[in-house]
Amino acid sequence: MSTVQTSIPMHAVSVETPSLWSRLRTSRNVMALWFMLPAAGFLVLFLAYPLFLGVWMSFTDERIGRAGIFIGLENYQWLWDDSIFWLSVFNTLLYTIVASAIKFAVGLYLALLLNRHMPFKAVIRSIVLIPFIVPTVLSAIAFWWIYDSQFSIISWSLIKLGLINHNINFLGDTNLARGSVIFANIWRGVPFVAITLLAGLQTVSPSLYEAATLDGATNWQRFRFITYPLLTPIIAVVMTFSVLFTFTDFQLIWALTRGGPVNATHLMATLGYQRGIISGRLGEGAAIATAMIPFLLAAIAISWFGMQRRKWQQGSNNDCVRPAIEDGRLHVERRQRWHELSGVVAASRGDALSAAVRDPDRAAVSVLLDGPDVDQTGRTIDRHGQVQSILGDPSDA
Amino acid sequence: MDKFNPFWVIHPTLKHISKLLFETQYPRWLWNTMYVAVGATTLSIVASVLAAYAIGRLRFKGADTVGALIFFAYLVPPSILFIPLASVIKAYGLFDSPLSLILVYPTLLIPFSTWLLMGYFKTIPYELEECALIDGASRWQILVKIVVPLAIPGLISAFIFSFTLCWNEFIYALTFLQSTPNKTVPVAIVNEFVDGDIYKWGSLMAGALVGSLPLVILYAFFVEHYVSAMTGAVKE
Repeated sequence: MSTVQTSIPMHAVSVETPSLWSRLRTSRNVMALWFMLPAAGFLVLFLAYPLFLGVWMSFTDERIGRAGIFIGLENYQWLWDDSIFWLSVFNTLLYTIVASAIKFAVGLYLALLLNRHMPFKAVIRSIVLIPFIVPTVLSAIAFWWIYDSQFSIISWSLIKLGLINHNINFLGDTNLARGSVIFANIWRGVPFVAITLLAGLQTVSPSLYEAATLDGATNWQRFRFITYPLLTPIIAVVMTFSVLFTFTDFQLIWALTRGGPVNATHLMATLGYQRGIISGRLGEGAAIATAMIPFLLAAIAISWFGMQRRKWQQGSNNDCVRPAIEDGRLHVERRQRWHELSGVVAASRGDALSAAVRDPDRAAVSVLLDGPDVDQTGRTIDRHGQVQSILGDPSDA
Repeated sequence: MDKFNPFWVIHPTLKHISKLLFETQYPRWLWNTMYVAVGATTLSIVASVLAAYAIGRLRFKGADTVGALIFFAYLVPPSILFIPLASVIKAYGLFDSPLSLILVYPTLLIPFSTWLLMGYFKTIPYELEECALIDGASRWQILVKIVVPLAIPGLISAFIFSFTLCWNEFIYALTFLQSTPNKTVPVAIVNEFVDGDIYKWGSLMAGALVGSLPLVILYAFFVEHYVSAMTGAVKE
């Protein structure tokens, strides 16, 4: 008679607690620290530290070759009474406002033009980018010649046409010099604005225009009520950068006029260079540079709030509960917004799909790994680039 | 004056270019610019790939904050940093050395490249990484063998953007480099070919043309990447 073994002795499964070392090795946070180290090193040593050092230097009387001592607000008091400094502030604001406004207008016009179907589109787009490709200083040399008091091609053409009888001294007269450098800046800056806005325009769905055309919208109405609202976020970003780069421009001015004639084209950056590096008064130069910071913060804040407002108007994905992988289980969220679905189903990865298949009456189920947006048809907008599954999409049926 | 016509070249000559290449220090300046641009670009792309992967994929604690900080770093212009940086560079004993530019330029390049690459990394299916993780690959292996090869177009964009910026950069190069042989092309041309009021037009124009050529060639081959580099981070 054989015996039937009814139970098999088993050892308790022991789960080893991972050692500190192996936890450290696999921890994403520790690993990320190593990955971030090179970038953080550069940015802290050569960006964050100099930024604070600059503010500190503006309170000292440091000169080249000699450490400074703290003198409080003396540099700023000095600048407050310095008419050249205020002239440079005025020039900077004039330069920024005029150049940015024109760059925006021309850039937007060019972008709308380039967005149309036309022959040699690729070639024209490449040509538009040329001012942006050519190194600024090297293109400034061409402007030297264009604005030269003797060899200027503009003066020559106007004389030949009989409109004027003497050469124009473009960079010698204060207002002409201002106009000339602003023109050069516009020439250089338009491609960036135009190409970036073009990229934005290409994301606008043509079906919107078709619908508007069917409804009888005019060209202007289509621009005003479709293009402009959809383009606003990109406009905000582009103009922030454009204003920022124009405000802090240095190389074009330095190459063209070095601030002259009689300081008429001195920007804050060039004045800072002249006082800080050439005259060697590092403290004073740092004070001029620090005085630029409030203006920059204002520019950033304006565009930042501009963007925030857009997000709120469009209804960002704040109303979507961000799903997460917890306990190795993937939380599937069903959007209530479009299809009156309810509840959050917790399912393991494989189950998520089968759960959706089991409920074919559910109109749209999106498996969210990282909270992508879901548009009206139930398709997920692949904002995070991670794979989503759509099942039972009514528009596909 | 009547015979002179600025729209037309009457006696074309290569004299100025040959003079530029054989009688001035122009080749040296080109070499400096190339050395600085390649060095700074390589450093910043390596740093950006690591940073973008950490922020975009490792999702560590505070990744969003770090991402926002890097974006703000892009908004800090060189014009407010060059004076304190000059004293930092002097303190490190790097003044008048192209090495100083290789170390400083990444601060201009890393923020943009990181944002660009974060965008590209997001388009790579997460599943690929998960499979590799299940097969026992380390994060480093995943980055080197899966993510980087798939992000080559993004890397090219970041490379072109960074290289162009290094080639164009003026204010740091003007501030940190003093002696003539150490200068980069943009700084050297505007300073060395102007003698008081005398402009050496031939050398100036030849120098500007030759100095722009490398970028124009690069751009001719990769124009699409260039556009996506310019617009990539904006679309984010």
